[in-house]
Amino acid sequence: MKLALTYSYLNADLKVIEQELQETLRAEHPVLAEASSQLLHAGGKRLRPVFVLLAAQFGDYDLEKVKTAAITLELIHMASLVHDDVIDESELRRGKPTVKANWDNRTAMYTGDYIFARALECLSTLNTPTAHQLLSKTMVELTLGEMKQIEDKYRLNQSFKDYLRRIRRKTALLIAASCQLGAIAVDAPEFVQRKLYLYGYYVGISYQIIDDILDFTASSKQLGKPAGSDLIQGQITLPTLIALQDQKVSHQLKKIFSVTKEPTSIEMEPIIELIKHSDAIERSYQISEAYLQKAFSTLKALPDVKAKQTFEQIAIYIGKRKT
Amino acid sequence: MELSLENIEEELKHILQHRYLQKYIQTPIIDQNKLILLYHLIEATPLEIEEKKKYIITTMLVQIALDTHDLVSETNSNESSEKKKSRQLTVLAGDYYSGLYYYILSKLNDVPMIHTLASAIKEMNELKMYMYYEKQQTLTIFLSRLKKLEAKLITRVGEHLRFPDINEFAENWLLTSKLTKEKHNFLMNKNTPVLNALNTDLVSGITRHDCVKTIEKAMNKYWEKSSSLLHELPSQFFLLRTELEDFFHDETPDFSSLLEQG
Repeated sequence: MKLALTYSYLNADLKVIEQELQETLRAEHPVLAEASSQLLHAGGKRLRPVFVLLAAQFGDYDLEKVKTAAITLELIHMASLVHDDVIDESELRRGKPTVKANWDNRTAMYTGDYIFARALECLSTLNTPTAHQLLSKTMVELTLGEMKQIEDKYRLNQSFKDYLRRIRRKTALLIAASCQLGAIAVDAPEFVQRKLYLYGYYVGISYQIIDDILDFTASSKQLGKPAGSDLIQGQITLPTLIALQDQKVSHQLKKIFSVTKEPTSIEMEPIIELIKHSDAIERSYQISEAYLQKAFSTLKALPDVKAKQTFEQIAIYIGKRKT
Repeated sequence: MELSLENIEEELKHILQHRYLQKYIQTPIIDQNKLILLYHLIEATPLEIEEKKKYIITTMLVQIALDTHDLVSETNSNESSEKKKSRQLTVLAGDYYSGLYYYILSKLNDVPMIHTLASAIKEMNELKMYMYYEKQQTLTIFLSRLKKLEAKLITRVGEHLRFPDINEFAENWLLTSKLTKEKHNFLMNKNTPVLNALNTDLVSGITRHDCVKTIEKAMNKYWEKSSSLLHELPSQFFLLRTELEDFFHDETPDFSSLLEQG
């Protein structure tokens, strides 16, 4: 099943959001306009706007109010991607050249800052302090999560809690915020807002765990980068963390990391294969599934509207996704 | 309780402290001239002390965030792993300071000020792109953009607080101050983006010596303009006027040492 089919009834509203995203990023400077437009046309799942629109179905749905939150979330996500590409030195994103690759780091920095500013300008048309409090806290946490990710690189003695805290900040909080912002925009009851936040949080954790599994199991073609890239770059994700409980893996990784500061993909290949074929993959799936189950049970308490079923289908999709 | 510049600066420094960042990136520079202008601008308003403090701190956080992003190298060629980490954390530090401005104002429930600062960031990045990309701009256009860029946050905050009278002075004085910093950096053999742009892009075939002389001429012009605008500031800015009158009286632009090296 294709993910987009689960929420096809939102297509008309998503189209409006797409048009408004284009309007919002119509910069004066031609390079700024082109870089922003390139980002928009690079596609992406628009997962965050979808979460906002779905969450808003639990209140008095009003596209005028909801679209502001949806656009803001997507812009914040885009701004962080442009800066992430400078951090990771990425040349391609979704198979297309990144802003830093097409122009340079400086242009990517200015573009990211510009998009961030447009996001805040957009949300400040809603005079809802709770929305700003939620989003600003999320943004600070997001950056702190990325800093922690750099700090934890090549650190083999980290715990599951360290990993969880990192992916919570890196992925889960923005999805949780998307769900809650949708509910805030339509004045849904606080109880509903809280449940939707938790749903987004659990789904976000599960989504990131699956991402980390796929980094080992998907093909280079599917990933658009070599398999095991996270570990090559020193990122200790859940499959590695579990595999490290095996003495053989632990010994081998310690050896590689102690000899070379930044090992190459060739040096890392045997260990990546070892993890890929270990039970760490299955055990990671089980942990992801446990979070999905938490997401499902959170939904149970919510009123029976169509969006509730869609949220369930999205969670099922996330558990099964292969790319 | 009185609002003191020293206390604000201390609080700002405290907010900027981050255990991991300070190991790998340079300590953020607080632009004293912008801080002084903001202080006097906001002091002239009827806001509560706590609000005044938050306005100054958040505006300075935005300035520091954008200045931090200006430190990210244009390309990543031949980077050591330490340099790479520093580049990565410089990107994140700027994002972090921006996030903090937003976080602090959201806790104050001040959505209009969030909007004002966001608009200023948008305009500043547009201006930066024009300055970065346009190779055909004249020196006059380049300096006029630099003038707007340097004072953008203060002028937008001034408009937000309905005190736009300070804007023209702020623009001229902050440009003078920027050019003075360039002169200082030139003498210290440090990075001088304005001189570099002038040298490489604005005037073809200009010598380094002529380039310096051109900047000095501009410095002099904006110095005199600032000096005369200072006297025209409204009475609310009496303290600023007094403080800076001494400054303008004590210091006159001395370019001799620069010319010798140029």
